Amino acid sequence: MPLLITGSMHGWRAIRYRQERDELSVAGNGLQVEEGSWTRALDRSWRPDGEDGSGVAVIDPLVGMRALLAMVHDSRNFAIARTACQNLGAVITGEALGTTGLGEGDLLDLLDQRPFDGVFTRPSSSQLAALSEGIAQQRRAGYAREVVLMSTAEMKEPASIIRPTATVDWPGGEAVQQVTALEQALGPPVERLFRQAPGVVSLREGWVGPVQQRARAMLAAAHAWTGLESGQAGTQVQVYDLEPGAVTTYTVHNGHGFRAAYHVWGHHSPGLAKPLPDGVLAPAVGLTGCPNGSTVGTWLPFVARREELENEVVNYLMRPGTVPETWREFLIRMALARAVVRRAAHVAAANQPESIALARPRRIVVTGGLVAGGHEGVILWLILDSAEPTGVTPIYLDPAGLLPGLGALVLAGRSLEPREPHAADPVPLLTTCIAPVSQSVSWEKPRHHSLAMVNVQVPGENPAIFRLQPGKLTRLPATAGKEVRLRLQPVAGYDFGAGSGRVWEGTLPAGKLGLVFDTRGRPLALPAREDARIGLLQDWLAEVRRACP
Amino acid sequence: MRENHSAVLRNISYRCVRQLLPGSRVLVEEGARVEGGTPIASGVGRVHRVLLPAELHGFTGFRKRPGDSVKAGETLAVLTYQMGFGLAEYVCPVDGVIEAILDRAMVIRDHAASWLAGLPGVVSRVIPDREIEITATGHLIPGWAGSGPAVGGPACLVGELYTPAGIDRALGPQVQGAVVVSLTYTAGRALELAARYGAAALVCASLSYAELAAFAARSGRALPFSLVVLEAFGSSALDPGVREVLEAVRGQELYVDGGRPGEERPVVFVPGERGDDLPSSGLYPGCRVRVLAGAYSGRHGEVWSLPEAVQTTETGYRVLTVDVRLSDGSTVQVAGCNLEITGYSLPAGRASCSTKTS
Repeated sequence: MPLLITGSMHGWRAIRYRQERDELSVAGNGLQVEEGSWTRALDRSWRPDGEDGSGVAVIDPLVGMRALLAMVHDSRNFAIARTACQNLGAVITGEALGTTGLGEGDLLDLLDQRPFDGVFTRPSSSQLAALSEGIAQQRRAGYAREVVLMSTAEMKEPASIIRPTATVDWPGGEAVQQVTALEQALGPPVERLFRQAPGVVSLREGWVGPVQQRARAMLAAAHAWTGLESGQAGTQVQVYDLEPGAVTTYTVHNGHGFRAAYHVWGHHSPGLAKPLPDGVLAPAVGLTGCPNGSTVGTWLPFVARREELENEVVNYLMRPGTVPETWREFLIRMALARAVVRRAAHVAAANQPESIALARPRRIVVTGGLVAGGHEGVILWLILDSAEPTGVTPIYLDPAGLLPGLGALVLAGRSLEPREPHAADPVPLLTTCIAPVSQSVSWEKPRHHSLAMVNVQVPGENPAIFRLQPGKLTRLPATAGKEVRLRLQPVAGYDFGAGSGRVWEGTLPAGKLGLVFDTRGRPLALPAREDARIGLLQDWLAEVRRACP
Repeated sequence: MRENHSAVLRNISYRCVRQLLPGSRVLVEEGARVEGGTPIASGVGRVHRVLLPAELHGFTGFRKRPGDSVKAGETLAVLTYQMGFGLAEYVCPVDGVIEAILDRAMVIRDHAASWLAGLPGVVSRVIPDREIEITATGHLIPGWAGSGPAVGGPACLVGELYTPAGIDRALGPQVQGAVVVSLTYTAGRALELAARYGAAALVCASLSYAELAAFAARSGRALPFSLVVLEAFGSSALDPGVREVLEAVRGQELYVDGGRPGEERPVVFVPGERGDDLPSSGLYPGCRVRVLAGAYSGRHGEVWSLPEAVQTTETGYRVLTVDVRLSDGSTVQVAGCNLEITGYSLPAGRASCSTKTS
């Protein structure tokens, strides 16, 4: 079964994910996609009958990069999508379709080209209408098989067009064999998805369906991966879905799920031509007069002229699917993300029950295009400044953006247990953050008193005993996955999750970046003076850069 | 060689799609030759909704009934609150007819509008109720950002638009209905004057986003003219190839499309005599690109060779890098996902760029 996976973010995210696990060289039943040969693979794959004569093409996310470039950045290039449809069985596009110039007619033409197994997209509303019609045609003809639905915030009504049904299944043994080949080619976690739900093609982008659907999937996946039991009191999981200029938070509180979305453009518009402007940009980009550190400039470890910065931010938001190649770009994007998360929290506080707005999550999961790739130390810094975890909080990172897809499987009653015992975790633990529940820091008059005595025992190493001092961001390296014994003895008046002055003791799994002790204050408030603030930010940047050299 | 690196697509065949509303009447047939001002369809009018607050439910302070003709600015409903001390008026946004009064909204259908071709060409496809495609020949300039519908008009080439004196000198009543083309960074005051004197569109090299936002906030949600920013927000200079084309368009008809969110990029089209079909495929050596991020952000060039291996950026991203030949002749490596295809070389140009020589 030929397959094309692509998408503006998904392509390179998946590539990176697989490269990290040295799974780049894969042998499928059709084309072999190996490092350095993607262009050759692509050239062969575009033709129905490849040079190897098999006529079966497995196009890897790696190759999707080229389609990404063509589809996302050339809004008029309909031909490549059409060619893909002619030659391949499935077209899975991410934001690509939303950003192409495909009109309704084009899309119908495209869907009419040949049977497909799933379309995976975040379409615009007009595209959606055409998509609906096309999918209905496919289903009537008995072509479309099974599609997991995943909703976006924009969709208000339940999907009537895409429904997984028991009667729609793979037609026979031949297809199953091809799926097996596909699994082998794609590797975990995609392999897992296909193994457990052959024909289910949904990874992370928007789908048609009720609003709760995607949120439920996100939360279900978060539950599954963080090992929490449902029905617990309090806030169990907080998921941050970070995209350029936007954040969506999903919260499980007392067994109920809540979703809050915020976008600097006022709505999600992944198009290349942005609506200019609708009045929310200037305050939302946050360069002036926003409360509580929700300004971009506040979080930059260098001086930037306001107007230049604003132009840079808007230019970035005009073409959000890019990768920051310089530190300046990267830090501006991270600063924008902080500003957006904080502003979102400010907005959400007015609309959510107070118990949720003030709740302390026991787990944090971070996903989205902004955290897919890049320096993980700096991403961790972003999470710490944005989410401000308190107590002892594990932080999970979803680098491949698989959370919604995995959640869809959970909701469908499928197990996420890996087939192989040592399969890499799709949503790995990044770190566990230890921070006081409430703490004020005076940057003008720093005090060097102790907040707590820490005793950390990593298996096979000497115990580390040290005092926690205020105003620091300290990382304790440990091998990922190892169980770390931690004992925290706070001084009177400080609470690290067990109560004021009470000892916290327990065993924690170490994340990729070990443990992090954050005593920079809760809530985190930066110095008002620019030079002092920039100095601090530079210190913290140096600290997090050391985490991943 | 400049031509190969420039963002301009010279002498191409461009398909412009004019989208129609359901129920509109098509006035042209496939194969018909049209000029910029040729009406191609007449519409049934667009529906507008004026949302009313929940308190108005059952309130009888409506000033209009279904079937009434209304003009833009006329009062539709009045709401009093705080024991009569508060007064809110809901006014009509367009000239049209009240079609219905719903629980929470008034529905107004504006007067039927005609669609003009916008640019000279041949009607190549007609899909009733959906779109009319016109094929034209000339030079296409892809923009960076835009706003507003597709418009056509005579080009009014102005000099610099960044000093108050220069702006006052350049923009006056003569720009009414014209496409103002500024080849430089453009200051916010130019937006004010272009709106005041009724320009159909403004095309500029670059613009400060803060000034645009301030202007838009003053003028309401929609800009009063179509806008295309060619390079970027900020003070980017115009690509030399684009400058060369635009300098030659004084008085000529220009077609400007501000783009549609999520669908089309903004473009400026200069109608010409000759046009060839573009090769249409993905990224390949020879296709023209704009660098979107990184050290060479904003520069134009052409793809020199496709990646063979993955590289790690200093910020930790693992990317496939593409060799790009910039307009100054240097060859640099850029992450593939940081490239925007601005055009394809025509077959001859493509052949000449197929071998990397540096």
